Amino acid sequence: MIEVRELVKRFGGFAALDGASVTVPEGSVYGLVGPNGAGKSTLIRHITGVYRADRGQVLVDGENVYENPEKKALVAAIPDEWFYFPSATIRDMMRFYRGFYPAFDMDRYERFKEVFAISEKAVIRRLSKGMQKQAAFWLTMCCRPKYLVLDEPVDGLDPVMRRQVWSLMMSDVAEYGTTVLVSSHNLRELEDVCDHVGIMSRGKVLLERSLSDLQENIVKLQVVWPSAEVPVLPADLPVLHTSHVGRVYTYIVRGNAGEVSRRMEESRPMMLEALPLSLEEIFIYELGGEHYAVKEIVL
Amino acid sequence: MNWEVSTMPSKRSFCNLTLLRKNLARFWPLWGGAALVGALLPLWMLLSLSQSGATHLVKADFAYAVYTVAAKIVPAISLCYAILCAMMVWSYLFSPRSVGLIHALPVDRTCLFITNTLSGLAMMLIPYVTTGGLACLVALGWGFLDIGAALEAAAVIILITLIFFGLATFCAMITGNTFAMPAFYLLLNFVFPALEILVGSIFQVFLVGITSTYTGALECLSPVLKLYSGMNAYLEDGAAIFVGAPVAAIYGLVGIALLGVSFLLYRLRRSECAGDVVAFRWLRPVFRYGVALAFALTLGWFLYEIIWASLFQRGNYADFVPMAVCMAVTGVIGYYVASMLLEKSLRVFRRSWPGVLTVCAGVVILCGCMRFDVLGMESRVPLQEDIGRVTVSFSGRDITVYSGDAGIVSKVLELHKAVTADADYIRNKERYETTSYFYLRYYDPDGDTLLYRSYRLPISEERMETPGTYEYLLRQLLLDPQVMLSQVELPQGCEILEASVDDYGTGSYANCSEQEAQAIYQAILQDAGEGNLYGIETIRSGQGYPAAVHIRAIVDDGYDVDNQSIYLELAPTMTHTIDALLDAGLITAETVEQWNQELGAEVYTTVAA
Repeated sequence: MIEVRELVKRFGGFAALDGASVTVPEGSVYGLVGPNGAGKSTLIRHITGVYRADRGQVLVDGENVYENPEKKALVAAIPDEWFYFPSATIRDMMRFYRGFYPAFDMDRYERFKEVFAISEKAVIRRLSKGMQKQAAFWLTMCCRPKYLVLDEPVDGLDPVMRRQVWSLMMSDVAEYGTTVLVSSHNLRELEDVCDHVGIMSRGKVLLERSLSDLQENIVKLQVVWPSAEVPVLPADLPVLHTSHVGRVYTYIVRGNAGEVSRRMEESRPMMLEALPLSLEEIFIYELGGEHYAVKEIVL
Repeated sequence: MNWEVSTMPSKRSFCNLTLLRKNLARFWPLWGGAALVGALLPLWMLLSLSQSGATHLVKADFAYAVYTVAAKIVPAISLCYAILCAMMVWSYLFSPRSVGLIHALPVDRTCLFITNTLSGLAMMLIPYVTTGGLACLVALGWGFLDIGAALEAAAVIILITLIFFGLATFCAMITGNTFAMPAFYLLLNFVFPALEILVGSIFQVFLVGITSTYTGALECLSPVLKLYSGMNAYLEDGAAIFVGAPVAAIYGLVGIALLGVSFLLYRLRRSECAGDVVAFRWLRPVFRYGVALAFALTLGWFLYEIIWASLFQRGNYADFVPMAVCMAVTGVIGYYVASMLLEKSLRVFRRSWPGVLTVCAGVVILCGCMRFDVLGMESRVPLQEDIGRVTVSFSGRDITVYSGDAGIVSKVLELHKAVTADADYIRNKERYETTSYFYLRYYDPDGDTLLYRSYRLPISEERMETPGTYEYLLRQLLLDPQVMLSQVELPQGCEILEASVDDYGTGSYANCSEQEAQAIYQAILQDAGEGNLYGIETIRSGQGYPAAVHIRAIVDDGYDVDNQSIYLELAPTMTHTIDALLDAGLITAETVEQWNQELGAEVYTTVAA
């Protein structure tokens, strides 16, 4: 399990992380989402042992990961900008990784030659961005990490290769119990693979729970009122967002779908329908309270 | 899967062979190229020995050659090569991407530091080992290999390598910027001697008597300069001698200490400082104010010289207020430049005002301290008991007085005090009146310079008669027969070779035999003993002849031959010398008569007789 407790990191006067807490359960696929500058990459660099915390703890299997080679050997990462030595080939980098990660799997490396279809003798610098990303996956997954930490992992990959790498990762999760922590802005993709989600904003984790819990805890209600006059909704009903088209009103309400529908029916709507929210919608509406709502701008 | 078992490193490691191999493999063009260039030396040796078939070479020749290389060539090469090696092995610290990879690897900082340090040292030593090894093989083939000397030179080279690589590594640790690292390295190697010259030069423009001379007082803080001055090789009685092994050993230890400090800094250093000019927050004020000071002292002075000194300055000494303004302006510019580099932004003005005020106040105070001589440099006169000897030079005439001549040393000190007491008088008069050069150099009993002062003294007729003035004391000193003798006495065991006369008027030159030269020298001693030499009185009256006598001699102590000479301008008062020159035929009576007529003086009595 990866546990981040009350993590604080300041760059000069700016708090990139301001008491962030995350718990990544073992064997889960954890999606870390948040707006630009929320602190996701900074958090990931703490988990990979690159950054030292100003305050708080970053624990991998119960031990601090910073300056802890045993725990760092359990973690392999693909950062948003993967580094390779300027004149290195994939084979050179394989030798480099193999020298550091005791579990490096050479059989897997050989088998992946067919999956990624890039020459291992290719100088990485000369490969396209997508191919470099493939090389990063190739080598990182051969490290056979217990914890795979990915920062914007599939950026630059074509749709087929995206599906391919997700499939490889999911099979590792299923077969070996690998834990995946992934930060991405592609919420539709995360929704397909993640079972846990944490939403970050301004250096804090606003909420984290399993995706099913998250989806059960927020609901979209489409309501048609009998008259043009909209009744006053119960004051304790946590409405996050309201919009309407004609007499069809859409409410985003925090809470269980059944409970929220029951409360709403007290106001006697003509028609009421509860719809599940996509992760993208949850992200947008949850962050609406953090002054991050989509603004309706008319130019 | 049991992850702990499959991923756990087998044991704690202090050196990662993968990283070591990777470093050597990545940077082979550097050390390989250096080794190749180094190998040219033994190759040249081999070819020239094959060509000449030199059979006269002995072990001492080999030892002298390797000692000379270690003392005079290796410091310069290591100075340049160490920064390249250090830049290579620590380059990952300067980019967020690379530091992200290396610091995420399952090794701790101790292991990373040791591995990279060993890689750098190996890259430094491989070319030396190649060059030295091949040179030894060639010498072995020709039978003049001195293994002891080779090992001694190798030890010195390792020590030199340690200091330069240690210093370069230290620079890598305090910065996160590729370009800042060599700049810091260069600065740390030369900043202290440069500062001595710079501060001395600024004192010189403010204070009377101060001359910016490089004393080497701070040389020990510049490894390359100290190694150059402290190490040497020479041949004596057919054996090669290496001087300076302790110097190399001390700097080797300093290098190890620097690596130790660098290790501590590396452990404290944060990965996110990659790209920053200064890696630690506590070093930022040092950088800001250091740059401000450097700008103030160099550019401030330059600005003063081009704007004020050439157009408005009166007198030979700098004006305080314009200099302070120039230094404050350039100091503030330096502060802003440093702030911009630290913040990586041009928008630093709003937040910098407290620092700017500090710089302005600091620079004005510093400038004031120099101008108003807070350190008492201008008035400094050494204590008599500290003096081993003192050399006084007045209008090109040197007098050396040893501590044994306590009376004369005391007179010199009294004179010096009178000069310093009249510093403001000299400052005001110097530019407008004819001046005479007056130098004082005090040495301690070990022969090291204690104090050096140079003055351009206005000589006033009126003050020369006033007891207590420096002119009066100077005259008393120069007229002292013992002082006169000290100007012309040759060392014991000196062999006089010849004497000659230079006639400035006609440009003619005449010389004489050894015996006649001996007689002329005795006559000079007699004139000196009677206080008749060309001196302050001659300058005062303007009654000098347009000619000089030159005596050349040697001292042979069995090892070295030391050349000695006396060069004296002639004056009518030097009656014994003129007689001896006439006897030797170096001048004629007609010439003397003509000189006297030109001077408008009475006809010289000897000639008349």
